[in-house]
Amino acid sequence: MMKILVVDDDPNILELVSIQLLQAGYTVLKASDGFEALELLETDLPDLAVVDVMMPRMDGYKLTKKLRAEADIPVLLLTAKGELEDKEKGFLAGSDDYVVKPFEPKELLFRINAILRRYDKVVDVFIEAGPLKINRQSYEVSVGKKVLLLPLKEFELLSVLASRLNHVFARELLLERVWGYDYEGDEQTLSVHIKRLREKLGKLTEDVKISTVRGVGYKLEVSS
Amino acid sequence: MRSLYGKFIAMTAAIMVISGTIAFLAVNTYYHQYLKGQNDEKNMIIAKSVASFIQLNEGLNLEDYLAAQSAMGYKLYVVSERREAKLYGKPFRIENLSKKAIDQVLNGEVYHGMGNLPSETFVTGFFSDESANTVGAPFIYGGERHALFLRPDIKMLFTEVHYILGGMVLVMAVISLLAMLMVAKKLIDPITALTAATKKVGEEQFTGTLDIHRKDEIGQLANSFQQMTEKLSENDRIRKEFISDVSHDFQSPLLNIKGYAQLLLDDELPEASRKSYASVIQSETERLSSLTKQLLLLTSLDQLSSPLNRRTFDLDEQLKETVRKYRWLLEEKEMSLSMDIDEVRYMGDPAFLEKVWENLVLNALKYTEIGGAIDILLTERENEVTVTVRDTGIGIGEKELVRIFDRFYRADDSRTQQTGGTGLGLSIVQQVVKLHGGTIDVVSQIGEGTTFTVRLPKL
Repeated sequence: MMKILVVDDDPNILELVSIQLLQAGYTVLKASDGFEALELLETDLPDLAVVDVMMPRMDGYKLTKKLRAEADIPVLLLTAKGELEDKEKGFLAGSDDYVVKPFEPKELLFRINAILRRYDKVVDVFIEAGPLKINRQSYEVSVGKKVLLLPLKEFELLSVLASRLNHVFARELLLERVWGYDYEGDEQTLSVHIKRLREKLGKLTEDVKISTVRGVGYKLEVSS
Repeated sequence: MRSLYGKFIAMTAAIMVISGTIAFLAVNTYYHQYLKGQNDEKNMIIAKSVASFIQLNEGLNLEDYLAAQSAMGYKLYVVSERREAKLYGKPFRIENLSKKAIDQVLNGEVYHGMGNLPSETFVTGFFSDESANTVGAPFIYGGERHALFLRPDIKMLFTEVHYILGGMVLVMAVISLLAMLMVAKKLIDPITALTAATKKVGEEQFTGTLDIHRKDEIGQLANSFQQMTEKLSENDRIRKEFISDVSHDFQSPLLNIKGYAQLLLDDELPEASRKSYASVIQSETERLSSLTKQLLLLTSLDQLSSPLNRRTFDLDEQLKETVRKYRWLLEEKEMSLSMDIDEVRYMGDPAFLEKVWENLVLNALKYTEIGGAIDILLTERENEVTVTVRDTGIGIGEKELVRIFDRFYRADDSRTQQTGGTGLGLSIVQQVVKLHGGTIDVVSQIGEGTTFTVRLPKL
C-alpha cells in the first residue's frame, strides 16, 4: 500500500486531504509544518509528499528541497491562486507537480496517481519519436506547438511503443505493460485503444504511424 | 397662483413697464440733447413773426389779435412796460417765468426758455407745461414796449393723438398678455402631461404612451422620457423574470435536499440507499453553491461602469492552466484533448476571462460522451485573438441555439440535473466577451458536436 505524507498548517485542509486519500486507499502520514514532516521522515519513508506552499517557519519550496535531498521522494505542491507565477520556483525546488487551491478532490487524486505511475515505470521522462515529443511528466504528446492530451491508457500505450522505434511489441507484452499483470480483459480492448490512438495521431502528424504486424503485435514507425 | 401662468403674466407686465420706462427715458434724453434746441428755434420764429406783425400793423387790436392767435393752439403771455401781464389761452400748469426773463425781453432781447430748459431725467421737456418753458420776443405796441412769451398748447393740439397712442398702448398690452397666456398654455400643457406620466412611472405603471409630438426641446424631453419608460419597463420585466427564475432555481435543489434529508432520517435505511441519498444532497448543495457564485459574478459584470480590470497577461498560459485543471475529468471520461495554441500576450481582465475558458471547456467536457475529443485553438491575428473550443459532443438543436446565452436557459433540463449546470455559464461568457468588445459565435450539429469561437479585439 502506498504511503503519502501530507503537510499543511491549516488543520481543516490537512484533515480533508487525509480523508480523501484514505478513501482512495492510501496510507496517510500527517504533519502540520516542515519540521514535523522532517521528523516523521526519520522513522518512516512515504512514497510521496503533498506539501502546502504557504507555511510558517519553513515554506513549501524549502521543504521540497529537503525532502528531495534527504529522502528523494516525489513532491506535489498545493499552491494558492496568486502564487501561480511561482510554479517555476516549485519545479526548480524539485517538485513533480502542483495543484491550485481550491481543488476538486478528484484532481488531487489524478495528480498523485500520475506521479506514482511515473515513478513506478522504468521509462524515460522525455521520449522523442521523429517529430513526436512525449512528456511523461506532464502527460502531454506534442508536435511543434500542437499539444495532445490523451487518456492515460492510450498515453501509456504510445509511450511504450515510442520507447523503442520500429521494435515490434507483442500484444501480450503491451497488455501487461499498460494494463498490468493481473489484467483479465480480452485482447479486443487493445485493438480498440490502438485504433483510437491511430486516429488521434493521424490528426497530429502524418510522419508517425502505428503499424500492425500480423499475428504478433504492433510497432511505431517514423517515415522519412 | 404659484403656477407658471402667473409667472408668465407677471413677467410680461414687468417687461412692458420696464421697456416703457426705458423708452421714455431714452426719448426724453434725446429731446433734451437734440430736439430741445430745434423746438426752441421753431417757436422762436413763430414768436418773432407774431411780434413783427404787431409792430408793422399799428392799428391792430392787440387783444383780439392775440386771442385769435391763442385760439390756434398757443399759450401767449404778454407783459407790458408797466408790468401789466395778460395771458391768452389756457393757463400754464406752473407759473415760474422769472422776472429776469421778463426784464430781458422788455429790454429788447429774446428769451430761449425752451432751449435752456434744465434737463431733468424724469420730466418730459417737450410736454412740460410751465411758463418758463416758452420762448420770448419783444415788440412795441402803442409806443410801449411789450414782452411776448409763447408755447404751443400741447394739450389742445395733441389730445386726440394722446388718446390714439394711449389706446394703442393699452390694446397692445392686453393682446400681449392674452397671447402670452396662450403661449404659456402651449408650453405648460405638455409639462403637465409629463408630470402626470412621471407620477405613473413612479408608481411602476409603465403602460400608456405620451401624446406629445413636438420637435422642440419639450418634444425631445418627451421622446427621451418615452424611451426611458420603455427601457424601465423592459428592465422591470427582466428583473421580475430573473427573480422568478432565481427563486425556481433555488427552490428545486432545496426541495430535493429537504426530501432526501427526510429519507436519511430513517434508521432502517440500507447502506446503499443512504449513500445514494447523501450524494444527491451533496450534488444539490454544490449546484446551489455554484449558482450563488455565478449570480455574484453576473452582478459584478452588470455594473454600469466597466468592471474590467485590464492588464497584460499570457493568454496561452491561462488556457493551458484551465485545461490542466480539468485533466482529471478528461481522464474520467476517457476523452482526449488537443491544443494548438499560439503564444499570446493579451490586454484584458484575466480573472473574468478565466471564467470564459472554464465555462467553455467545462461545457465541452459535460456535453461530450465518453471517449470523445475536444480541440482548443488559440490564434493571434493582427488586431484580434481567436479562441476556438470544439467538441464532438451531443450538439445543440437549432431552436435551442438562439437561446443558449439567455440567463437560466438550459437546452435540456433532464440532462442538466446530471451535469449540475446552472444555466448561467454561457451568459457569463457572453457578458465578459462583450465587455472586452469581442464576439462569440456558436456552430452546432446534433450528434456531431459544437464549436464556440470567441474573438477578442486587441487594444
